[in-house]
Amino acid sequence: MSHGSQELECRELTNGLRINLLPERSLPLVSVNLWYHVGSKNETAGRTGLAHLFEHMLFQGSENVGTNDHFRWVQQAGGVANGSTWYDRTNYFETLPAHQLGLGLWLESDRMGFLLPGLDEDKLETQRQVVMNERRERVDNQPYGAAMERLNELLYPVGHPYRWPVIGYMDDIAAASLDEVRAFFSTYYTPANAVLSLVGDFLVEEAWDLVESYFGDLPWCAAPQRLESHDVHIPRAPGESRAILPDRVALARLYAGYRVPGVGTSAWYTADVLAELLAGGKASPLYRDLVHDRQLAQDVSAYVLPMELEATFLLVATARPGVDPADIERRIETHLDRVGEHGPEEADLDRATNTILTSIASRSQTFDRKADLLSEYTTYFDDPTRLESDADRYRAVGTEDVKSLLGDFLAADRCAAVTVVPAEAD
Amino acid sequence: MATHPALDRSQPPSPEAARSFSFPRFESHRIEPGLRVLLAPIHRTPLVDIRLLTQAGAQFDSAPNAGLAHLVSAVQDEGTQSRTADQIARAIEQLGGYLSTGVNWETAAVSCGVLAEHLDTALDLVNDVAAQASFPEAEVDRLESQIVAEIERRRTQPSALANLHFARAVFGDGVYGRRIIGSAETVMRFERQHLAEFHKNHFSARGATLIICGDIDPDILLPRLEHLCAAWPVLEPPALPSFHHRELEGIEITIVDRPDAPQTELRLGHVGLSRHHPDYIPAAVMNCLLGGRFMSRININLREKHGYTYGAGSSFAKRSGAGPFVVSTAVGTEHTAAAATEILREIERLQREAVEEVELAETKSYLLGTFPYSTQTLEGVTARLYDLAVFELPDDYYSTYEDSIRSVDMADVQRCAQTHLSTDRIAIVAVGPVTELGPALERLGPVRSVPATSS
Repeated sequence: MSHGSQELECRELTNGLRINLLPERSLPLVSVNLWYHVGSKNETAGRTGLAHLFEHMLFQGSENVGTNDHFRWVQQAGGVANGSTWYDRTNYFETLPAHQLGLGLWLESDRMGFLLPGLDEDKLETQRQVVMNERRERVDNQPYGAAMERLNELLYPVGHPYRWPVIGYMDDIAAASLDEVRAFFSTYYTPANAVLSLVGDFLVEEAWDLVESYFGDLPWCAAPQRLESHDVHIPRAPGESRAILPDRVALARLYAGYRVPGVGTSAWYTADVLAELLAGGKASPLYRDLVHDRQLAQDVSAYVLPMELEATFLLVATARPGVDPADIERRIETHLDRVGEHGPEEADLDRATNTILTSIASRSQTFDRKADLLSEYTTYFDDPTRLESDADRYRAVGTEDVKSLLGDFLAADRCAAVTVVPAEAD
Repeated sequence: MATHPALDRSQPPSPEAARSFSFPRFESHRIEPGLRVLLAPIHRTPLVDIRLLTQAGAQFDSAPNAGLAHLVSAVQDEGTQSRTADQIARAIEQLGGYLSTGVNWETAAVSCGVLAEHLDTALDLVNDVAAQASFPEAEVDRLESQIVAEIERRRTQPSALANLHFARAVFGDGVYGRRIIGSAETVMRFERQHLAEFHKNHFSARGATLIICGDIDPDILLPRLEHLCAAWPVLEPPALPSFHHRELEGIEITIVDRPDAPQTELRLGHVGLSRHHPDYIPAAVMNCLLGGRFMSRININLREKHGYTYGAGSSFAKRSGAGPFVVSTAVGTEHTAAAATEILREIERLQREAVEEVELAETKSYLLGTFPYSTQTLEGVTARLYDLAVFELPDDYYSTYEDSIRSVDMADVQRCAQTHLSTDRIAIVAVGPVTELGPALERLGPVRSVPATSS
């Protein structure tokens, strides 16, 4: 949706920090959102999980902010804060009462410019333990938790930076050293490798003055070399595309993955439409066939992940008790073949497009989400105005685009599949 | 940067003056034959969010019929007098919207979100699903086996297992000791006519609430709603069940055995207070300080001081009867007893020592500041109006909410900790390997162990 009468203002500091300012007066709030163009894909095999562990260290204090005081300052001001790590980026964000914008900028500039004095071995050891528990909670003690790791190992060959999990392998997390953390900061946490977006109740020039005073004197430093798709487009070796994974689960589940072009390409938008078209909602053909009519599956879902260099397209279905997941897989293939050959039903394409357009209207309700998208589109495409043109990119997806995507990227021999099955009782 | 005076980075800038926030204006009406209507015109987005609530939640299930309210709700959008399941799904999804049904303890809800231009279609569908559900036999059978499979699935989910066994430890055979979803034994017994009968006995204009937030004009909408519900039946409001709980005899420990599990899901708690209790607000402030936010005592202790966990928190359930107070976390198995001890110590400290003024001020400031944040979306406003309707709060509740938070003082916090928390009558549930957990937890109290596979 439009931003009402408010205009997006995009500027850059001499140190290379790019800034988006979007006034939004409907509530007395402001979102401060910072993206650093570094994620797990910048790690190396054997040293995984560093980007995410590092995100934790950014909440452990800096020169002028004490240990844990980041959350303390934000929460006592009546705000919420967090950060997250992805294959391609790490983001940090707080939404505050609008009159506390200065606080958000003070906190973010202090850890961008003055983090190293705050780091020590004790803090790192605590966060190693916290992250190892996070990994247990999300992966190791979670039914089906290992499936995506296994699938990525099948989809992305040795040498490909999407091969390892964002949270990292347990042994690597345990081994991360303070020197590595320091080097990571110096290489990647520089103004020229970051984007700052503000959305909220402020006047542009007043906000700009604050941004300039807090970030303007941070030194310039060359941005790290950017990884490009052609650097890593390593094809999958044949003959290693399927795995059976026994786990403590009651119901078998199929994970089928494909590699499609990265976020922002027209093929990626098509893949997003295809996912909605195939399995979004009860009117979708996969739900209709697998869950409702044949009752082979307990649930089915499809999505494409927002990954930069290339992206994972996923189909996931949980089998009903006693159902062979291979039967589900064959039905899914049949649907993909049909859509690939004849194109989607017009009603399905309309439904998918309309659903996505509604979700675009819905996501623009929250200041945090808007600020995050401005940072994303600036980081990946140097074009924050994509926030406005997204709807048109989805509307442009047609029958032929869907057919081409299926033909070019979703053929059966490009599929990697992991089937999680109930482990035999001891 | 010559235009800027030397910047003092040692402390944050002083904030500007705080800007005022008002909860979105809404209208409250009662229309014939008894439906309550809450309308909040919000024009920031071109969307509407609709929620129809009826007094048909799981608290109205009798013990042998546990899961019936849930099943009725699940089948409601799978066929009506005039539409099949597929026709319902297509009618709303073709417009880019969604329609869903669900229950909690108090209410059954039909929810719908769509672009405002499709409001008429959406209302027609919500009405059809809520009032004219036909409970087709084939759909009932399919959903029953789907629900039984879901019950199976939860048996392998450590957090779901912990919640289930915690509810049983605290509430025994009381209403809240059951599962909303029911058990395999009860669910498979339900026939089409049980569902139709439950619906007939619970679907009523009186006691129901329709909430609509978003891009609407109440003056135009209201007459349409009167027409919509004119033919709805009117029933006496159902009687509330008695919400009893077990009297814990001390520290009662249950270990749900998952051999070789790499982590332990941990729950500690006891019965809390009802949403209707006069202490609800001061108890919520007390809980926020103890375990309700990142900077709370329990999270900072377990996560940042000891590194035992990725996160730990506490809550009072918001229910019409006295629901649970529970502390939840997942910890490295070797730290389970130490983590439980730290949690008990934090509760005991809150009962014994008055809180620091500054810590209470920070907690209240957090609750006050995040109030506008929670109203950014239509769903957020709907959730607030939901509480108003279901827990019978006064219409000016949200205009006085901030003052209610501000008025909580140190004595209230300590009194609530002493009245509503206990460290000597408390249930502890740990889902993990009994061989490791048993010897460690026995030091805290008597331990009972059950296999994870038990139902």
